[in-house]
Amino acid sequence: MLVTLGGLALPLAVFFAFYAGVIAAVGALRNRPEFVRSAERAVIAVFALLVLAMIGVEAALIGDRFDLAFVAQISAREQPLIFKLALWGGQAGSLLLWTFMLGLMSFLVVLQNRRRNRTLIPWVIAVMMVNVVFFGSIVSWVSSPYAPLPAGQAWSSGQGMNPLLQHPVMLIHPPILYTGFIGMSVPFAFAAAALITGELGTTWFKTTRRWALTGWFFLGCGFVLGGRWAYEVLGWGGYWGWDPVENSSLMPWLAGTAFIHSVMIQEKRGMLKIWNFALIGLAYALCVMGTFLTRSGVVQSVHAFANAGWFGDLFLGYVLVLAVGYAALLIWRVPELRSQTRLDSMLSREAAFLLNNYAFMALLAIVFYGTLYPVVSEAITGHRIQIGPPFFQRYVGPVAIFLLFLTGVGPLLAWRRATWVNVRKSFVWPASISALTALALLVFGMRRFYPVAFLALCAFVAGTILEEYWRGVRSRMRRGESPFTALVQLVRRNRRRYGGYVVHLAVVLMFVGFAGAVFNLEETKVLAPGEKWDLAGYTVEYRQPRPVSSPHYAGAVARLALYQHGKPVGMLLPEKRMYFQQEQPTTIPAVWSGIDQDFYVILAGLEPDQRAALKVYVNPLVNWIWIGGLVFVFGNTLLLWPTGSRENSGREAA
Amino acid sequence: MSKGVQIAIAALTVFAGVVIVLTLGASGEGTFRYYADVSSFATAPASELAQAARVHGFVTAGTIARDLGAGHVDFQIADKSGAHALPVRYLGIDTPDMFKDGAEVVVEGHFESGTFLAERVMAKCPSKYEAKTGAKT
Repeated sequence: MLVTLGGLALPLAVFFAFYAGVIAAVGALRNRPEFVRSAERAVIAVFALLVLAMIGVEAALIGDRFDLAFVAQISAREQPLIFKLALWGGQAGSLLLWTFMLGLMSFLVVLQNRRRNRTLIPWVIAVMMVNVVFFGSIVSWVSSPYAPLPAGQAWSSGQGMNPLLQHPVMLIHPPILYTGFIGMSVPFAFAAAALITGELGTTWFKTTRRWALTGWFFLGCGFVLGGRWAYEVLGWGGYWGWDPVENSSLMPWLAGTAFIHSVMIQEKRGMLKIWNFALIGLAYALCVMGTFLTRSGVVQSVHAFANAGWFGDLFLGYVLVLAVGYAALLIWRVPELRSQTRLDSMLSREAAFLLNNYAFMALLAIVFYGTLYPVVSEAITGHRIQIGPPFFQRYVGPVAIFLLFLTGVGPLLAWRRATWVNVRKSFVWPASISALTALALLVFGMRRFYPVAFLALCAFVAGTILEEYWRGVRSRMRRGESPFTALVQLVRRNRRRYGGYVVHLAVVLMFVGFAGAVFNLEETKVLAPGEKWDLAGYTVEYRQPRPVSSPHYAGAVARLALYQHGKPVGMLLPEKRMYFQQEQPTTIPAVWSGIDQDFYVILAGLEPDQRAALKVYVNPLVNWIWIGGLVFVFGNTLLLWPTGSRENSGREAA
Repeated sequence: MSKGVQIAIAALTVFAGVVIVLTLGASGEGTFRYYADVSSFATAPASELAQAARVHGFVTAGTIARDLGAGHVDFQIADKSGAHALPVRYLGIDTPDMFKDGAEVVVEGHFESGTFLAERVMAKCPSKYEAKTGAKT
């Protein structure tokens, strides 16, 4: 019954969304507030209906409704409940989740702005409802989770979710990513509304600052989680493959990072108004393009070789309509957006932010180019050329170094015009730390330019952050506060600034982790039971293989004893499993993690005579990526923590 | 025309120019000529064959031969129809989990003396976004 209800609720939601969008626009154009109120109520209805639609699908999944094609595809009778609930494991379910999140965010926006932004809200609703109508229509009529199996088929159980995806990280990775993408749609809607209504001041981004930051934060978490899953599960010892699907979530994040920095310039100096409007449009267009790239098969990806033809064209068309429509709005308003202020000096925080934006645009261009090159090359030369990781690594490296440098320098420069005296004073300490780090690395034998430069710069940025904190705490201590109180109050009063520094620190830690990849070791060897293998200061002793089994799989584990510098450190148990339901073999890596490096081993093969083929990766510094990820969460929590004041989303401290 | 339009046209021209130049002169580390099926690879001119390539095909059943001691895996890929078999030697032993008879793969490497020497074998990641047909009871 719930399933039937959900199946009816879904298209109904689309109709209500259409109504809401139209009546909101009419209400704005004809100045009829009661129409706008009706639109707001319709948005609430849309959300409620989408909740029903979600409940219906979950009920179908829990209830083993294998008469529905979608359930048959992603679920199976003996699948653990928590993975049954993960409806994003299939195309239709993931699109429903996307639509549901759009509905949820629209609902929250309406709730937040009951008594505010009355000029902008009708158009915000209209834009958000356009999104809901598009995605909702696809989910209702093109790729629906409620569609029955083709006539004449009956399944007693389903294919089941791929065992690679049955992992706790994969449970939360898609919803987190979607929250990120759709979080970006709110500032976009406000920007479009601002362009339409002519309210071109800072209201549109101040009111959505938290939305933009939240979306950006969730996207960032999405990568770290995805990378962690890839590292733990996929068994190639890496965490990022520069694959088109990965890149399609990176690109909006890059635009988003540029955006959250450049809006600060508009706030402080009134500059870059046109640029900020363009940037948020770009960020959101990239979000939608991301879904297009992932689902359409227009670029080959290890994630999917599906060739969906016209289905992808739907999304492409939508991106183009969005992009062209928004660009037209922006061009229309350009005359009113010219700023009066000019850049006073290259030695200023504005200049640093501008360079920051250029650098992110450069990164975006590189990733965009590398991702879409195959399509372009095929269109122009008739032959498809694919781009692999070495291309990205080669070009992203130098830009990343430059960005690291800016991250350290920017916060130390004053607005408008910094003086050389102040600059020198601020740089002395961090620069010394940096030089010392470089020296230490060289002395310890690291001779390659990139890692030394990276790590020295990381030390520089960390030094500037510590210096900023130290200065802040010290000046508060002078007024009589204890060090701890000073620190807490410092952050509380200047959340954006000091929370932002923590996020920068997180990025620095992650870069330390990335730098280590240059020194990754990869070795393969075949061992008979009882044999030992020495490498990189470790000794691996292959004891014996044992069978493993569970209700869902059977396989073998190679029992390995690990020694480091002669001392036993533990057992490593890499496995090879065969999952019955999906008839799929799976390799489970075993990892020994330390703060300095990971010892990562997979069982590549097991011979009948019990010889084991082992592949080992030694990954220096890799755990700093995950540590950085945790600091990232902490820093953003500081930034986003509610400040407790009702009027506050319009104005924030520092 | 206004300054803004001029700038836009200039920018677009530069961008288009860069794209065209780079596309036509495509080579360099990290770029691969992609062949959507083995038959297009088999019928490619000899000069192309030596370049870094990625070839898409299906593993012919019964051809997978793992040599753990020597550290390579030999197999054959062919078109979906089975035509145009291409012998492949993967220079490693850790093939992806989905790699088996009949699997859809992309091999990355270059062609040498009658065999495709693959540095990477990518097997189709179980696509979340592809409808599977086939009844099961």
